[in-house]
Amino acid sequence: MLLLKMAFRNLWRRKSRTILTMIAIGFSYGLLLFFVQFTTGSHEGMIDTGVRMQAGHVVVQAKGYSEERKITENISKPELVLQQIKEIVPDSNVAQRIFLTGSLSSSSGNTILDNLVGVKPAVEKKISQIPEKLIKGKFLSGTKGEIVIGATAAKLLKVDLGMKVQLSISDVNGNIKRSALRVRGIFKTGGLTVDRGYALISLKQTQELTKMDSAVTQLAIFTDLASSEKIASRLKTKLNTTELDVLHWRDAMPMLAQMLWVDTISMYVFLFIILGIVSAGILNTVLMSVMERTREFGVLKSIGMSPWRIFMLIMYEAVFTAIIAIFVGMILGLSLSYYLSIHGLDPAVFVEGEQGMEAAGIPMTNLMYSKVTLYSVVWTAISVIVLSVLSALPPSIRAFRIKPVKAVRDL
Amino acid sequence: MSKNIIKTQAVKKTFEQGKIKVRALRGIDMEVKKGEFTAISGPSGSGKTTLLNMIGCLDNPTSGQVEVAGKEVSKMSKTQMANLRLHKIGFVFQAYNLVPVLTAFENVELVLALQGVDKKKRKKLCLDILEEVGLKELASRRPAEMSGGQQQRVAVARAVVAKPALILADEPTANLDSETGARLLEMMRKLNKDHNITFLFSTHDKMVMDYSSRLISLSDGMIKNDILKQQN
Ligand SMILES: Nc1ncnc2c1ncn2[C@@H]1O[C@H](COP(=O)(O)OP(=O)(O)OP(=O)(O)O)[C@@H](O)[C@H]1O
Ligand SMILES: [Mg+2]
Repeated sequence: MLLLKMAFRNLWRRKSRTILTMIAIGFSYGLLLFFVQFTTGSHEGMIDTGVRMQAGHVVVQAKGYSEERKITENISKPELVLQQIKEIVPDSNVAQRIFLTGSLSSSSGNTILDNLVGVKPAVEKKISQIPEKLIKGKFLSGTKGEIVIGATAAKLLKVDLGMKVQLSISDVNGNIKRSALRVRGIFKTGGLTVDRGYALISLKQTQELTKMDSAVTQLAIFTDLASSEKIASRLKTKLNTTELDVLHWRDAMPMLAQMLWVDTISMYVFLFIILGIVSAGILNTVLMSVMERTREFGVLKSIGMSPWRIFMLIMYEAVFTAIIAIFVGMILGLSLSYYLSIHGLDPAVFVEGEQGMEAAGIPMTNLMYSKVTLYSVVWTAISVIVLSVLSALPPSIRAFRIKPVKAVRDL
Repeated sequence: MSKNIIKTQAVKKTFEQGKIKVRALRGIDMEVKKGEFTAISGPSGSGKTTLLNMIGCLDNPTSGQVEVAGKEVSKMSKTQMANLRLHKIGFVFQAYNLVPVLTAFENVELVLALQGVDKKKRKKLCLDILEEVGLKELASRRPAEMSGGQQQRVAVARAVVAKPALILADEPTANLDSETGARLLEMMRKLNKDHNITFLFSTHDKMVMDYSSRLISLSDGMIKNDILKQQN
């Protein structure tokens, strides 16, 4: 106990130096904590958008569908599969979808659709972000002959709500099918290709046009992100047939997964740089304080304090410094992170003016929210403490080795 | 029938600084009995401090043997030496003896805490010894808030509190004026008599030599004179 008392009091012998070090460590830690939480939060936001538009947390599709995304590679009896899914994840939302490519034309123009999605409006409403992005009109009601298109497409076609557009797609036999649809809603996500080439029609009509009967190309399961991996593997064991593929969102959207991975790596690089600065700060401060006190350690050793105790004394000093700094930094980092977890940050601040921010076919225009978690607070704090122990190692070893004769000699 | 606290045999110490060899001790044979109050005198550079360091297990001799409280020192590991210092030897240096962040009380308590004495007993022992050195009122002061003489008294209290076999003091009065020095010596002499603790000093101070019961003179790393005075 006396040792802890000594360590704590020793911190304040050089007040300004200690406080300066603490501020530096605290600031770095706060920044680090915020950065980690913001990265986590914004990644989850992007995954969420991606999952809602293109896949699910877990996706079930026909074997071989991934290769060319042909509608002939479909799930012919989706209701049966759905039942099996519900047995494993009863409280999930499962969307049945058909993804198609096609083209739209009007009297004054035409445009290609990269993602024409046939959906069940009632289910899709619970999942899709499109209803929130509508600038005009409404989401699909379920009656035939409706389409929801993007703002860019509407502009290219020079159409407005209620006006007719001509859809051309090919059916399972490769024959071109045309159908006249009315514009029910127009959305704007800010994503360039999405606002031009993403459109929604009803599943039933898609099935009729393509002659797919009750088949779909995708069953998208929405649960929560954290347990998605576990659910994916459970579904894999259950649905692992020769016809079906179960994909985690990472495999369903490899481009997005890769992009996030790269971003995560750069977060760790940043983290390492910050930790490097922290480490240098602690090493420097502790080393100086050890060198100044050579004589004192000599005295302590003469009166019988073991080298190990001296070693621990220095360690305690370093760890105390880190802990106090962490508390200060935590207040800083958490308040910033908490603010952005409520209010969000407009990604437009990262990019100059231009519209159309998109990554891997997913619009990146939603507000980015930070995610405050206890886990991130704990692991970053532990890293800083472990780091401070490591950085205090050289000076502690130095103190460990100081010869007791120093007490008498260096007057 | 008193036993030896210290016994040295042919102790030599040579410092090597580059090519120059300094022979600080050139064969010291001496014995100190329990309860003695011995001063080591000699000109600067004669090897007083070096000798005290050998006896105090702060440094190893180049050759020869040192026995403290019946234990042969030269074969000990660093930890064993630290343990011997902790349990058998008290130290008083010329100055800067105390831990600056600890109060007078805590400085004295530290030795007992390191020995693992329980808290209640520590408190009693510390207060008793601080009373004996006349510093009970200053128990909660830090070294910076005390005079040099007061600090030395705390250092003596710390050295004495665990009732070690031996107290080594390297010029304990060198930084004090003669009156303060005299009071410190008086106090140490009293502790020596009351608790039968062995004291070994090095000193330049005539007064310390006068107080001592035995006077060893060093010259050039050898014992020149060893006078056992009439006990007073
Ligand atoms: N660490 C060392 N390295 C080299 N030489 C040393 C060292 N310590 C002591 N010496 C030398 O050993 C000799 C004896 O020194 P010591 O300190 O024991 O003398 P002293 O009698 O205590 O002197 P003083 O009265 O000045 O304190 C001196 O010549 C000194 O220079
Ligand atoms: Mg000396």
